[in-house]
Amino acid sequence: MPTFYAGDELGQTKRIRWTSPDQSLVETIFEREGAKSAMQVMDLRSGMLLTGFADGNASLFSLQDSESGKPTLIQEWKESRLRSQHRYIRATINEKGAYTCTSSGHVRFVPLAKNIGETEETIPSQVTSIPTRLCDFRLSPSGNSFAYGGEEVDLSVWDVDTAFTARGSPAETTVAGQKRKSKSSDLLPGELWRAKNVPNDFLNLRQPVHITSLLYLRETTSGSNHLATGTYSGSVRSYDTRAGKRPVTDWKSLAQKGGIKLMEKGHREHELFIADMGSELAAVDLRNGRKLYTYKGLSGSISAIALTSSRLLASTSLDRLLRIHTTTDLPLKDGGAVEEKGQILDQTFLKSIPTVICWDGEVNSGDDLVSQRRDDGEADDDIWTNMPAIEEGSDLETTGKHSKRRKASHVPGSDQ
Amino acid sequence: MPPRKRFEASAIKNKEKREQVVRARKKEKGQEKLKRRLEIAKAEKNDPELKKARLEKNVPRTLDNMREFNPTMITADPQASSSKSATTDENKDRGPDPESLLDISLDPFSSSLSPPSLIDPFTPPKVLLTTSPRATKVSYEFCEELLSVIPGAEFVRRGKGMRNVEVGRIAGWAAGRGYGCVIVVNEDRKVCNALTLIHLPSGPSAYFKLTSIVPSSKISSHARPTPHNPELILNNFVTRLGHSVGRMFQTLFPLMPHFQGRQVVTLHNQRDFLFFRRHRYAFRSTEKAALQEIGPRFTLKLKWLKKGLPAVRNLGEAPPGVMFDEGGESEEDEGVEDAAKDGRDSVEKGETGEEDRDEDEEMDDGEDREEKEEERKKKAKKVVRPPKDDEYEWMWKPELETTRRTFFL
Repeated sequence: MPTFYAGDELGQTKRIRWTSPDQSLVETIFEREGAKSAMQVMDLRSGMLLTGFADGNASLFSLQDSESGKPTLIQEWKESRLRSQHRYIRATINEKGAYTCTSSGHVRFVPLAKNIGETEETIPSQVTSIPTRLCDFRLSPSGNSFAYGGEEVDLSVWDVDTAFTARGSPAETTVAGQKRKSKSSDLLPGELWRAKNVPNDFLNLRQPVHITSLLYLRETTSGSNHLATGTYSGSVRSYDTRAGKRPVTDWKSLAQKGGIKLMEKGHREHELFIADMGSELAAVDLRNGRKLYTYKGLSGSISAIALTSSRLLASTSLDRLLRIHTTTDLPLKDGGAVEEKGQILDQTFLKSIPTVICWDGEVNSGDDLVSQRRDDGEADDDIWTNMPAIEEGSDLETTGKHSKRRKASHVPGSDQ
Repeated sequence: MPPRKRFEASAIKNKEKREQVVRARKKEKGQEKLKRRLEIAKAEKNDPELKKARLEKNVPRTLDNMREFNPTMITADPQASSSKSATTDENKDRGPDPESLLDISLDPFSSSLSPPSLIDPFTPPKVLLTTSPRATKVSYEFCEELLSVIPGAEFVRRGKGMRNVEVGRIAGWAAGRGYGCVIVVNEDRKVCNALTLIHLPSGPSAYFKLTSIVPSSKISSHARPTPHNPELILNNFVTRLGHSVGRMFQTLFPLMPHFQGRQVVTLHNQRDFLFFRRHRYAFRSTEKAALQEIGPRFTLKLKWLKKGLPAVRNLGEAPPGVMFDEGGESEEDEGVEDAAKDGRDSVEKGETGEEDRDEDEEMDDGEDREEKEEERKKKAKKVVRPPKDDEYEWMWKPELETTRRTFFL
């Protein structure tokens, strides 16, 4: 019975409780008063919900111990530096506080309020500026570093503490608009690592840099970060900050239409979900970059996906539908085909275009669909074991060319 | 005694005898059916209630009334539309869901369909009509017909060679020049086969497959069109996607029709096919109206609906360097802001929405000429950039049609 929280273009927050196929309860738990502004980013962690809207406002709610099921507002603030043509690209909550980033490179860290109702005046939020024209921003799992990438902005990993405490404006070090010298590897203060562009293509032309989505694959204590980026041209590249600046792997043409819109890491090892600009949602094997399966029956572009621990995936799309999908195990052998493909279990009509979705993180006992199906498989096995085995040399055994093939999948009684 | 098994005529080996038996049996069957029907007719002649009951019971099952449940249907009766979720008796007669209505009222078409009250509802929205590159006479003839259908439509030929520009860029320029919609007629091998509707400034783009075009000259006893604003009839747009498409067509036509023109344009949706018809009507009595078909007749089928303008992938442009956003207004912002302010100013200058342009200018005699020219220049400079990538609100894929009874509009 996973519960999801979704935000939409009208600025509403909805809670969707999915109990079983064909039964999902959708309720709007929060609506902003005044002009409707689309929700652009959302994050949910340990009962706290962080939302960011198109007009620059951001709110932090608590979802715990509310009698009416409504969230209680803890903090809210406005990103004053956000201009009309830019938008929020990521919001993350940590134990320390909330981080929001805009496509104009304005990052804000708001420490968690100890009491409800404290506003920006009482708690100072820390701000910093990173390059503009960003498409994605991620905080590492440990919260020590963050990475960003965008349009002609290559993948860059920064240290969180240095980024906020370094100096006021990193632009003092460079003149705005001037191209960086390619040979000098001058990192901005706070920057730990920056990727290098892939080599020129077969016509010796520079490959344009346009990262549309990124994520942390792994973060080790020794400082080696493994990241994956999805590009505008439809390729998925993985980087290792310790191994070098060029991507470790570059898998081209993973997107069917347009570029890679979204990427999320699955709970299984080597599992990655990508959504392209058309209506494709696919699972990719990170060992070899092959698409394991795509979900059939999607009609609109995916706007957000959320994974649960019980091997379910929820996706929202621009055709105003929320879909619950199953995810299947990867093949044991690298390069093998997947045995079973993921299916769409259910779709719910949300009356407005959903833009973001998060799983609430609560694991319920009756959740695991995978275990349910395993039970069915065991029942089937019982049928097979109870059937009488045909001995060799008996009348029922087929002779000739087919006998070898038949032995492998012999079904008693099927020959008659 | 056990029932005697009926012998099959096909068991008779003699062809002549077999044919004889089959003929006799068929005749007998037909006569029995006729007898049955005559009895029913006789009974119904005396009691019309029986006929009513029979007609109510014998409703034929068609693909339309056996339609697969689509969760995005917006109907007046929520109980009927939801076969899955439990609804209480209270919800039965409430009408369409208020949230759906809110969503519809806030969609990209709402600014054209519910405009500020000072705008003249009789003025048609500017529509730019063009063809695919290298079009031939067939396209130009069809475009001529479309010009008569859509008041406010302007036809511009596509450029040749270097002057041939992407549709996304055309849409951006048209949006900056105050057009409400761009229509592109696509031609392939001397046949118009598709129509792209791009709502401006940032609105959805829809691509329809165009079939069964019958120009008005080919319609027997067709009427002549007049330049009056037509009335619009949109039939059978049931789902949320259907509402979007219907509202998109609504934005092509002026809000207030000229009723004295007695012209009506119908877009009838049946099984995801949109049938376009244009008629002239005349009331013969208060109940009955006679129709005479005017204009072109064609059929459309939606293939995809994109969220924004068609994308322009400018892969060859020089890469800008890494920059930081300093804050403060950029030129783009200024241009947009001034255009918005300008719009309000020009509306405020005219006291009512129905004032003519001449009257406006007379009133402005006292105003500062220079200021007005500056504003006009800024208005013309409004920049609308097409997006870098397409997002699809809906696209047709063969895997979506799981049964023949699945429809999306």
